[in-house]
Amino acid sequence: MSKILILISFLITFTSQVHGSIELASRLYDGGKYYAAYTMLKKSINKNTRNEAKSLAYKLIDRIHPAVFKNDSDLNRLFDKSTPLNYAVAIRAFYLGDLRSTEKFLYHIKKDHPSNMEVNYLRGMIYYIKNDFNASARSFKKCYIAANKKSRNTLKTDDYIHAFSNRCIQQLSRIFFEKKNYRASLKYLRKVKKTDFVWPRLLFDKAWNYYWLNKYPQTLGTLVSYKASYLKKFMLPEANYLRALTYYDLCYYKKAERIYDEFLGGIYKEKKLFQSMTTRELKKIIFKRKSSKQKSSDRFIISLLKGYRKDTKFFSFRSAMTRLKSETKLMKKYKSNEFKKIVLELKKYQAYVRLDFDNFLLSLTRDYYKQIERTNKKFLRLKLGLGIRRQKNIIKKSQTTFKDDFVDLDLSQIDNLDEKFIWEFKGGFWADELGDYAVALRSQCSEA
Amino acid sequence: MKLKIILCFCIFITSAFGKDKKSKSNKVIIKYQKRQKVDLGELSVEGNVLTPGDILIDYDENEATMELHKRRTYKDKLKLSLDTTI
Repeated sequence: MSKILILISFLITFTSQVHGSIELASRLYDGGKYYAAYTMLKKSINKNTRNEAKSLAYKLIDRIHPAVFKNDSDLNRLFDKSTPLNYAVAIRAFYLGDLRSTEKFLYHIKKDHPSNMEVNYLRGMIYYIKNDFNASARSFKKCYIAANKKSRNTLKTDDYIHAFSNRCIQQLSRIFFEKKNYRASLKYLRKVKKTDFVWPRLLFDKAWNYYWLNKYPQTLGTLVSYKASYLKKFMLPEANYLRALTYYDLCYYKKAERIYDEFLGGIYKEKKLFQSMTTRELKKIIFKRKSSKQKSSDRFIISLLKGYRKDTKFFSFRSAMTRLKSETKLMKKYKSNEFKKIVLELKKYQAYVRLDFDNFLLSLTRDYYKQIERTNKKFLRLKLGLGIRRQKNIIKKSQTTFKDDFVDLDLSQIDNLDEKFIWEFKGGFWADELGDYAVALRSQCSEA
Repeated sequence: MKLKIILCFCIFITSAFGKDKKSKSNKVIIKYQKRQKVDLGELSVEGNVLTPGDILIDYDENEATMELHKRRTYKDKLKLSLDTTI
């Protein structure tokens, strides 16, 4: 009998605690303390969550930085059931490498979910990993549509949503590239306006599409855009290789070799910097408005990192940290144990968000280092091919020197673009003030 | 019966004597030289002189160009796409 009484009293206290935490979470949410509200809400979430908690989770989830979900081990207890925190659990599962669980939780999320944009992005990525390109393309399209409908909030500003929507387009175009539908891929890439911050990043994708369509003048012209001082920071090491490869295909061997030499003398020489810089140094660079004394070797890494100042990760990190700091400061004023626990949780979240940003910076620079290494290997193979082609041509025509001057091309041979106004100049054209360049070259292969 | 025996005897006689004659006529005595001088300086080989470059050219060009990197996928950029977005 006494055991039953203990059990009943335990159940009463537990339900009253749950009820209390939902109430507190709801009050905190109304007061704009989203992270504090999340700490209270997640305790009350279970299989039979009350409607009150459901609607609160629905409103709250989109205002929390995903780094919190990635690292929050409290979410592990929700892995075996569908709850209003499905989105949060899906993100945690994804970063734990559990694709099956991620898919399961994403499946339960409805169209009208405030994080529908991110949900579809994740779905698209999973299908991409699984080589299901059609399903992936559908998800990225939905991601783009959801981005256009999404309303901003404290974490996800207009800039964030806009940058994210461009990411959806980029992935969508990559899926069509994978399906070898280069025209469709280009069609999507053209949806991004030249005034958009992300536009220079898409030039690389565009150039590869032109390459596969055998539109070499456009390939080179697209990559020429990176020569502009403002756009240099967006250039990937592989863009150098693509330029050399295009010249190689057009039989401009000297030019291809010169590009490799430029690569070796430039970015390749400074590759170690991308591997050796600490997160502290990287943070200093990305947050500093004007760097006083810059070494020439540091200049590139500075511009590379500053290129990410208008990206989703930077926006979300800044707004999340500001909010977390202000909430922690406010919660510290209350002396009750409940609030002390909240403060501890908030400090943990700050560490998660900071760690996520550190990983982002490291990922960017270390990946850049790997790209440089890989590009060098690609160049070495190109050089071998170059030597073979060269020697073959010497034997064929008993030539000792190569014609390697630019050959003029009839501009009418270049396809018209929607917004193109051709301004002729020696060796090329430009369609307008920024972008859509094409280098007017004719293949030399037939002449050699 | 007598005829058969005579015939067999004749065949035996002719074959035995015939073999003996052949072995006597095919007897060859081979004499080897005790010493042989080879002048390497005077040796000549018929054909064209090739340079290492020519050997390289024989290598199929398609093999080299096939190994050239030509991007077909962006899967190598998946991790970065995720790290920089969500």
